[in-house]
Amino acid sequence: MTMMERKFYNDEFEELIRQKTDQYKMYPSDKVWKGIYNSLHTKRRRFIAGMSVLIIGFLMIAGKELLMPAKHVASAKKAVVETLPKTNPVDATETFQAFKKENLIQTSSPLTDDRQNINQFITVDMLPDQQENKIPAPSADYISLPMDAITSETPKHVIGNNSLEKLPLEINSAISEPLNKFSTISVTDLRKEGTANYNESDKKQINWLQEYAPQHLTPVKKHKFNLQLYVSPTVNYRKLTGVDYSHIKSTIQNVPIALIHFGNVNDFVDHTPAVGYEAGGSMLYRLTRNLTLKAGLQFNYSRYIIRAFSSNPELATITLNSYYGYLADSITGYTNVRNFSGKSRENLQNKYYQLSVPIGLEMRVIGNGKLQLNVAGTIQPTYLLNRNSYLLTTDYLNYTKEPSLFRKWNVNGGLEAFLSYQMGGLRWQIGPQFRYQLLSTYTNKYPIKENLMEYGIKIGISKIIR
Amino acid sequence: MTEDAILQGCLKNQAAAQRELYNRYSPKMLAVCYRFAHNREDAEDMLQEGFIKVFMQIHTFQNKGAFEGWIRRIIVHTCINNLKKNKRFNESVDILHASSIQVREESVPSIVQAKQIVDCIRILPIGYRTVLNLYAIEGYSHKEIADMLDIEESTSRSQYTRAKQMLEDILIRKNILQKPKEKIEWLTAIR
Repeated sequence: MTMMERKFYNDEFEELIRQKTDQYKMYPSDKVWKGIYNSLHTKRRRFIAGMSVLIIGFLMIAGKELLMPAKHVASAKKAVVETLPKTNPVDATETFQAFKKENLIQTSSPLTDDRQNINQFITVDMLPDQQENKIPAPSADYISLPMDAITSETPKHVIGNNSLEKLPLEINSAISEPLNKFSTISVTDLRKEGTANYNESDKKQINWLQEYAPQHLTPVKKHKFNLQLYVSPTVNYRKLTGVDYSHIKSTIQNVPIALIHFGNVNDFVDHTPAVGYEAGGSMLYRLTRNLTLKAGLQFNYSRYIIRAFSSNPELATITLNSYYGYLADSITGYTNVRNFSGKSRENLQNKYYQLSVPIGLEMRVIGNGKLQLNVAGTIQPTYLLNRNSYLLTTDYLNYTKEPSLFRKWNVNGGLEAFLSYQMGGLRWQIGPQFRYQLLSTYTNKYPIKENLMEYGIKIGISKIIR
Repeated sequence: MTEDAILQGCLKNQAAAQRELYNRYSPKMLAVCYRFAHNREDAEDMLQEGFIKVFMQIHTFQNKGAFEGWIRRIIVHTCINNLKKNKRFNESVDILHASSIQVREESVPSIVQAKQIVDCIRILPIGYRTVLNLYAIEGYSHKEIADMLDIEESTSRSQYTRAKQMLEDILIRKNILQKPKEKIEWLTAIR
């Protein structure tokens, strides 16, 4: 072999290697793109994590408020009972007298609208802090006495038969709010007994009570807000609609560019429903006796199963809808999932994680305060948290993933009927519900439309917010 | 989608454009990674890392050369860094193992040859293979290879000569290449 031949051979050898290796192609698995996508789009993951924390936090607070009695109220009442015997009556009396003289306390809130009761008793309950600190009450114009603060177990110190001197009253100046809740003051018939102990201003005070107190009663508050939590196992399905090319069967077809299967898209897919769930919380506002406005936050996990086949990697073409009748575009990718025949059967699960804000109305159809039949309807602006579901290629041959064709924002409609039953402070409800996705899962570019449907049994619990 | 539209989309961090770019170049780039890597999983890891770098650094692409060439350089550098990190240069493979390569029959002859040649390159010890890949296929000079691999330029040359000889022997043994005297005729025929 000559030197020239050798050089020629060397160059050719390298050229051959370069050429042949350049021809070689390999198709990466799905996880590579997933890894890239997750690395590049961390914002979405942060959003999902943030929303999860928010929802969990909301549900925890709501659950605590709903299921557990207000701890501070119960403990305060208990503390009052325990500490009352330690009261030093003399100190309290002095303090009370001092306040009376300076007109700092006005007993303006009677227990009932029965005027006679106003004149019967002064009873005073105290908080634990009041016992220890022995500090006078706040200089409020008067102490209001809400009706719900009066309970049978609340101990009362009765003043009467010249016993005002022994009235045990010590009030913490820093507790105007608790005082309003727990202090109960009634008035004895001071004119009959022990009138010598009171001056003119006291008498005026009593007279004022007789004249005006009933008109100044704090009206019983109508609690219009309810907090509701609910969960619902659902069965999810979908409705597909697409372009039916059967009518152009014998004419020239240019859309989609790829092989066309004629007929209804539903005839070419094999899909079955699957079980998902829905969970959320709502605030209910009673508009009228029978009508309630509701708004809240809801999470939906929907899924269905597609029966497909695995195959070797092959081209998957999605022909997009054209704009203004021209400018047609297509997306081409690789997939190893076939719709019709392949190496082996494969069940694909299309999962959707949705966050929505249901806003709607609840209406009482029949029933009393205890047992009711209600119907409700909601409109739910919805954000789709994941976009990695499979979609059918426009030639119906393959399934592929194309996140860019998924609609981020959607609108769902919900209808439900339920029986509700009041038990203790809680109202339980159960009933069927139906949810329908009003816009297609995919953007308008994708020729096939998918509308998700959910049927479920909703179980809920609600409580009045006081 | 045109390449310019893809580029603009990637600059805006649009997932659709990124996916399109990935779909377009990943098969070729995975083949590049596969020639450097120990196995397919490693190759996919390299590809993933490489594409993340591509998308992160896409703003540095100045439209002066070919877009594919720019991506390819990033992928190759990622492969080299990965090999360095894993210290796989010292691994060696017995040349006798060459006969055990299983080459799957495919319908298109050029693809068969391409796959056979790639499989044969992968039999080479990692040091030889890397230099051969960089010099003969990727077109780097020995100076550049020396800088990339932290070796002497002369080492790169000698490694390449041995790698080429070894590859030639493997190809002859596998009946992919004919002996020197017949080589020229074969090469002419194959074209």
